[in-house]
Amino acid sequence: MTRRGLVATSSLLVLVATLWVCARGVGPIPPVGPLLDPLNGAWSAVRHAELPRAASAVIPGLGGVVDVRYDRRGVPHIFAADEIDAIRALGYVVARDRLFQLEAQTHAAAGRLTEWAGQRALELDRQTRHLGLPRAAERLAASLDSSSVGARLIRAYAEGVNAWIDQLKPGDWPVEYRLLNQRPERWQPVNSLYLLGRMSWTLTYNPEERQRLEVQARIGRAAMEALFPVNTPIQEPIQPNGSNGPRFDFGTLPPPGPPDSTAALVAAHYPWAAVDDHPELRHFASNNWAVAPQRTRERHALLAGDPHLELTLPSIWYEAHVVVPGKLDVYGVTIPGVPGIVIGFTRDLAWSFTNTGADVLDFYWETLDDAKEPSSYSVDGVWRPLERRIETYRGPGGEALAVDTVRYTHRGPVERWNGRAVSMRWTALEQQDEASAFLAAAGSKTAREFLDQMAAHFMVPAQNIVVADRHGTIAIRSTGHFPFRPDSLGGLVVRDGSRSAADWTGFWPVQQYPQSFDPAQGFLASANQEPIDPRVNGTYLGFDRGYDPWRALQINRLLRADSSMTVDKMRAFQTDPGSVRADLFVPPLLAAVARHRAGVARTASLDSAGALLASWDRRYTRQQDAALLFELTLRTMSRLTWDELADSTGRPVASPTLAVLLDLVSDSSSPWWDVRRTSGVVERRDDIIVRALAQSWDSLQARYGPRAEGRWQWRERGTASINHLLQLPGFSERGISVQGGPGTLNPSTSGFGSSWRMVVALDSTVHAFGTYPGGQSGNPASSRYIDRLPLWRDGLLDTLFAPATPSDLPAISTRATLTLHPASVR
Amino acid sequence: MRALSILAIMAVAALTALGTALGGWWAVPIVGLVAGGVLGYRRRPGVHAALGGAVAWGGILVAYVVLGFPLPGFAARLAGAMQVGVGALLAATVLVPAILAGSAAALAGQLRRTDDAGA
Repeated sequence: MTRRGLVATSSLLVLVATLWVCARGVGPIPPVGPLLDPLNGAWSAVRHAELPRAASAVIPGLGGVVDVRYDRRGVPHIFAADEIDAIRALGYVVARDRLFQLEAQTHAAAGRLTEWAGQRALELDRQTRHLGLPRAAERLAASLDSSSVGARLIRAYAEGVNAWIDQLKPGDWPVEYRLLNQRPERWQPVNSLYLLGRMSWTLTYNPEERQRLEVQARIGRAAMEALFPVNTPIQEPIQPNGSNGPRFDFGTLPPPGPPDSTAALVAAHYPWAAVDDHPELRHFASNNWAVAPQRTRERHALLAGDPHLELTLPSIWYEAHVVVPGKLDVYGVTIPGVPGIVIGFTRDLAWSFTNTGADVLDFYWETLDDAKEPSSYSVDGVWRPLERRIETYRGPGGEALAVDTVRYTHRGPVERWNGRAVSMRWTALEQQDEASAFLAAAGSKTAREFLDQMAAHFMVPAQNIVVADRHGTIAIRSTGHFPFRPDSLGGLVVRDGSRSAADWTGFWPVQQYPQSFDPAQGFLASANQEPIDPRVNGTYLGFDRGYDPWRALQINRLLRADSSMTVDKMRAFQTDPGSVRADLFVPPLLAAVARHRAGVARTASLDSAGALLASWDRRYTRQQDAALLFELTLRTMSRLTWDELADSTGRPVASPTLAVLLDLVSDSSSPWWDVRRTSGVVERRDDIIVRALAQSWDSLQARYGPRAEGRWQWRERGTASINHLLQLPGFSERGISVQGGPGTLNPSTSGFGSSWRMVVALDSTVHAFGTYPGGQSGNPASSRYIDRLPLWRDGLLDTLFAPATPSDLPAISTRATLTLHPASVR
Repeated sequence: MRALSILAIMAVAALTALGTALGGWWAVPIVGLVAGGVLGYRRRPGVHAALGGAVAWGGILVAYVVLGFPLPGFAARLAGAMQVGVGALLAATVLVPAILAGSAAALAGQLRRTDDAGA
């Protein structure tokens, strides 16, 4: 070959290879051409980092012109002539800032992640679809009366989102699409319903049945029921019970019983593994509270709320203000995809949510006509047809990765548990009207009206809704559909599905919901604790491990101690490092150390640990070293104490709550303290406590070096990580040192934490303050991507400005304007 | 001669930038092919086109910085997201058009010379 031919051939080869890499990518590398193209690819994100000073757009279906003003914090204030136009505009502005998030959340909620991630996401999608969530959303969308408010809202929202999508050029697409080699998809109204279903999954899918059976198999039923009680042994419920403080329903725990082989057999049928989902590691830690005028310095009601959820970038929340003169004026946060303001305030009232944690999910053994290809199931001796739904999982190229069939009884989806058919009834799969709930409630003038509107429309996920209004009323109500079971077995057993008598018999009437209006104590608080004192209403609502008493104790303690509450104190409470849990556990730990010192077997580690714990102010501040020791000691104590619950690998199948452990601490010689593997020795309480303390001290020394070196600091563990939705490190913020820890009001550790903090003063004019960990923009190039993070980290809040008219927002405070026109007017 | 080379490179760069704006990254090899055809009478048309491609995309990034767009901060984030170094990411952004345009121009240049020789 000539030199010329060689050059031509090698040039051709290089060109073809490069074109291939550019157009198709290689392995995990996406197509490099569209990715690196500086005008249309990832780099173009910098051009869209900031909002243009002025912009206009056309939204088909819009009834009139909508004026949108963005304030300095990037919050859109939407001024529209009617509510439906306002929601159209909301869809548009949310898509403008958070388009990728909208679609990513929808793909997850609809079980369509394989279309982006291929085989890797198959099991996750399968779980979503087998739970029946996409089907439920689609059935709901199909059943909505097209003229109903809910249907009009989700349609209008979709029109707004699509108006934004339709005018995008490839260079305008969010950077994530380039990294995934995808393009934006048009938004369907059902997407909003997928999303609401996803929230229900996050907040209410909490099956406990397997853990209880596994425990029962090891220690018998009586001991299981004592270690895993239905009701929380520390009672300070959401609905005040008249006690001026917590009530400790402690008693002597029965000893471990003989193994229950029947329970073991039944447990073996469950499909999911029994793993140590230690309740202290759970992350639902939302708080809300309200203070009546007589206990505030300025003599008007105050409200605070901080829902804790998974921390993501972009944030789950988007701040917005919607004004329809004479009808609606609501400011707060929306979830991208939800056509309304979820948490916020109006000119008359403010509200916030915490998760109720109610048990709204039950299982039923089903009798099918065929083991392999069933077509019907038996109820009361009559065969009923099973509904079949074919689920196809598609890959990035549209190819079918897998196909399977999910069958449904009248209760819900059928799963196979080691060959046995089980169906699931879950309120998340049933009729709901959340889409219109937020709009209906936001038009309320009083706290009671607000709660009644929510009760009429909001069914799942059940929420503890606290409200305060300008008249000085404070109120709280756990709102959602709570099923009545047909028997006294509660919701922690699998019922016989061959009998219709096993079905739910109805739902709690609103007047039975846990609730309180203007209580004599002058404040109301919820923090995922048990909503109602079982002595007031013993109807089964949920179980102890679904609740968390500690933060409620702390909030109530703080509120009870101060009859001159202010906005600033409430703000400080949201990151308060104090811990009732530590206050209750530390004294018995120290007493055990003191008793042990009187004996002979002292060690330097124990002496040091005892001294450190004694000097601790029991606050989880960043530099605190004793908090590290305390937390590790509790974990070690729990592990040593509940060794009866370990599986063959030595790991517990489930752990009782720390409230149960605290109960046990008052019993020095309970057989639970004995460690089974130390045959010939019978441990007692003090033995376990001092061993846990000494072991924890040694463990910290091994990890962080001698304490004197100063590396024992709570901030080593008390860090928050805020991951990008795709878990991309460069778009995430990790290792953020925060104040607070387990059992405190701000347990923002790992990837969960306070997702929106708000304090509202219900004066003659409403004053509000808030922030969240992230920023309004989903564009990582934007200054608005994480601009709120420093405030959030430091426990500070921004002033939230809610102009009543466009002219109330001064030009100097206006970051950008957007005018939305109807298709025919412009 | 040197001025002509610079002129050629700048012309290719301008055409590449324009082509990218109008047609995306596919414009780069096309401009390269055209440049190779036009510059085929010169020595190493591929080098001129490669430099032109690099200058085009690199120049757009520089323009972002000059215009005040937040490129440096975003480059760090994007590189972190892709788990590569910032330098590698920037280098790739410049090298990709260089290789595309250069190889296309070299190929076209050789083909033109073959045609010329045949004529």
